[in-house]
Amino acid sequence: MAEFHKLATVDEVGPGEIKQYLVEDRFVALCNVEGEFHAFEDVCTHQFTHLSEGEFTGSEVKCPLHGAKFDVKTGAAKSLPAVKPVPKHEVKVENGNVYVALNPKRVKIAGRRGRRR
Amino acid sequence: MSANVVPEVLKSSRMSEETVKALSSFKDEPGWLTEKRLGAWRAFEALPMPTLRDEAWRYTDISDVSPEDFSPYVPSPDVSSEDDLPHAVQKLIGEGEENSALLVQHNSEATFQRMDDELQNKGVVFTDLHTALLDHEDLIKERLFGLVPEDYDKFSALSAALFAGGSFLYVPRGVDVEVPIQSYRWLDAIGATMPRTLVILEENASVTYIDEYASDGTEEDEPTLSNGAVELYVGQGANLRYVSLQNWGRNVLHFNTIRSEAGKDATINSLVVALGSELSRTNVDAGLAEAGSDSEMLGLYFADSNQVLDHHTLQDHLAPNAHSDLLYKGALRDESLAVFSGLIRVEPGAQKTDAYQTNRNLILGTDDAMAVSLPRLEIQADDVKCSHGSTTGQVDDVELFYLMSRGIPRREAEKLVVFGFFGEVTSRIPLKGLKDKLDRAIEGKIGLGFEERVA
Repeated sequence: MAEFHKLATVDEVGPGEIKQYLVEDRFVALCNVEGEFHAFEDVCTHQFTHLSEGEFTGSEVKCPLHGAKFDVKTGAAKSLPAVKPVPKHEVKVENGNVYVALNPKRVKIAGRRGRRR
Repeated sequence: MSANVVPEVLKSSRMSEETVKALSSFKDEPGWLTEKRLGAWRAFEALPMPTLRDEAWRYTDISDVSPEDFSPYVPSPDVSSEDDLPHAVQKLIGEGEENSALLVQHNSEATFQRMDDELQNKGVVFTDLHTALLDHEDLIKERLFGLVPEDYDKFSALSAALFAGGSFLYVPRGVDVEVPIQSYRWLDAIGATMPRTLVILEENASVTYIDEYASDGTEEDEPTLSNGAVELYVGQGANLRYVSLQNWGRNVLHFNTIRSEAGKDATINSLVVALGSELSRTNVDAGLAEAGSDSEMLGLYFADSNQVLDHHTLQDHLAPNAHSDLLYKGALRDESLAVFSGLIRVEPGAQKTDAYQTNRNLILGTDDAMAVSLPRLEIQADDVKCSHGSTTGQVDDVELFYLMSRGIPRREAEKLVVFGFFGEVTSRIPLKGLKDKLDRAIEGKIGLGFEERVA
C-alpha cells in the first residue's frame, strides 16, 4: 500500500482549479472537478512541460506546449500529440485535507539517473 | 607531483572559487591561466543549469545532478614504472592498440607517460597539460580554450575552471606517426575528474590518437563526475584519427565536449564510443573551417539497464568544397535511453558542400527502452549536397528466422544480427586492437541473449 502524503486543505483548490505540488521530488497536479479531487503526474507524456500551467476546463486539461489534452479523471490522452496516458495518483479526503498516494509509474519522456540517493 | 602537498581546500567536498585559485597555485600556473580559470568559474556560476525545457537537454534529465557538489580534485598514487599501474589499467593497455606513446591519467593527475625515442627525435610532444605548459606555454596559450571556450555550456565552463591532468599532443609539420598514441583515464576514487585533451597537428602531419576512459565502479558506489573537453586542431593537409572510448563504471556521470577544426584539405576521422557510465552526454562538433576539409564521424553506443547515453553532433560547414560523413549506430536493451541529435549546418558561402548524416538504433527485445533521434539540417548556401536519415527498430524476425533455419541457435543468431548491425561502423576502423575490444564489449552487453528477457 502506497504511503499517503498530505497535499493541501480542501479549500486550497476550488472547483475548476488546478495547482502544482512537489511530493518526493515529483511534480503532482491536483485539480478539482466540481468538488471531486483528482491528482496526476504534472508532466505531459509528449514532451516535458507542466500540465497544470495549461488550460483546465471541465475534466480536461490542455498542455500549454502543443495542445495535447488529457482527461484528469482517468489520465487518458484525449488528443494528439500525446498518445500515452498520464499516471494518476490515488487521492483521499479526510478531515478537510487532501491526501495523495503516488503512483509508482512515471512519465518517461527523458532519461535520468536511475539510482536515487 | 609528489613533492607538492595537495592544498586542503582541494580536498573539500565542494567546488568553489577558492578551489579554482588553490588548484591554479598548486600547479604553479602563469597568471593568464589563473585568470582564465577564474573567468570560467564565474561563467559557470552565472550559467543556469540546463533543464528539460532547453532544446539541447530535452530528453536528458539532469535535474538531480549538481556538478559543484563533487570533490574537485582526487589525488593520484605515485607511479614510477608501468608495473606500478593498477592491474586493471595494465590489462587495458595489454588489450589495447599497439602504441608508440602512452599516457595514464589516474584520477586527477597524469601518473605515467612514455614515448618512443623515434617520436621524440621527430619533435612530437605528448605529455600532460601541466608539464606541457612549462615548455610550450605560447602554443598552449594560443590554442587552449579556443575550441571549447568557457561560454560553450555550463559543463565546459566547469572544465575550463578546474581541469587537471589532461593531455597535450603536438605533431610538427610533415611528421607521420604510424603507430597510435594512446591515453587512458582511470578512476578509482570518489569525486570529479576533469581531463582535457589538446591536440595540435601542423601541416601534413598525421597521427592516430585514442582517449580511453575506464573505471570499475558499480551502481552501488558513490557517484563520480567526469567532465572533459577535447580540442583538436588539424592543420592544412594533416590527417587525424581520433577515438574517444568511454567505458566508465556505472557510478560515473560523464560529460564531454569534443570539438575539432580542420584546415585546408585536412582529414579528421573521429570515432566516439559510449558503453559505460550511468549517464553520458557527449557533444561532438566538427568544424570544417577551410576548403577541401573532410570529416568522417563515427559513433557507436550500446545502452543497457537504465543507462542514458546522449550524443549531440554538429557538422559545421564554414568553407566551400568540404565533405563530412556521419554514421552513429546504437543498440539499446532493458530500460535504457539513447539520444542522438545531429545537425548539419552549411554556413553562407559554403558552396559544393557534401554532407551526410545517418543515425540507426536497434532495440533489443524490450518495450521499455527508448531511442530519440533528431537529425537536422540547416542550409544557408544554394549549391550543396546534403542528406540525413534515421531509423529505429527491433531486430527483424525474418533475419533471425533465416539464420535459425540454417541451423544457428537463436542466441547465436541474435549475436550475429547485432554484430552485423555494428559491423557497418567497426569495419570502417582500421585499428585491430580497438575493433577486438569493441567486439568483446558488444558481446558482453548482449549477455544472455535479449529475447529471453521478453518472454
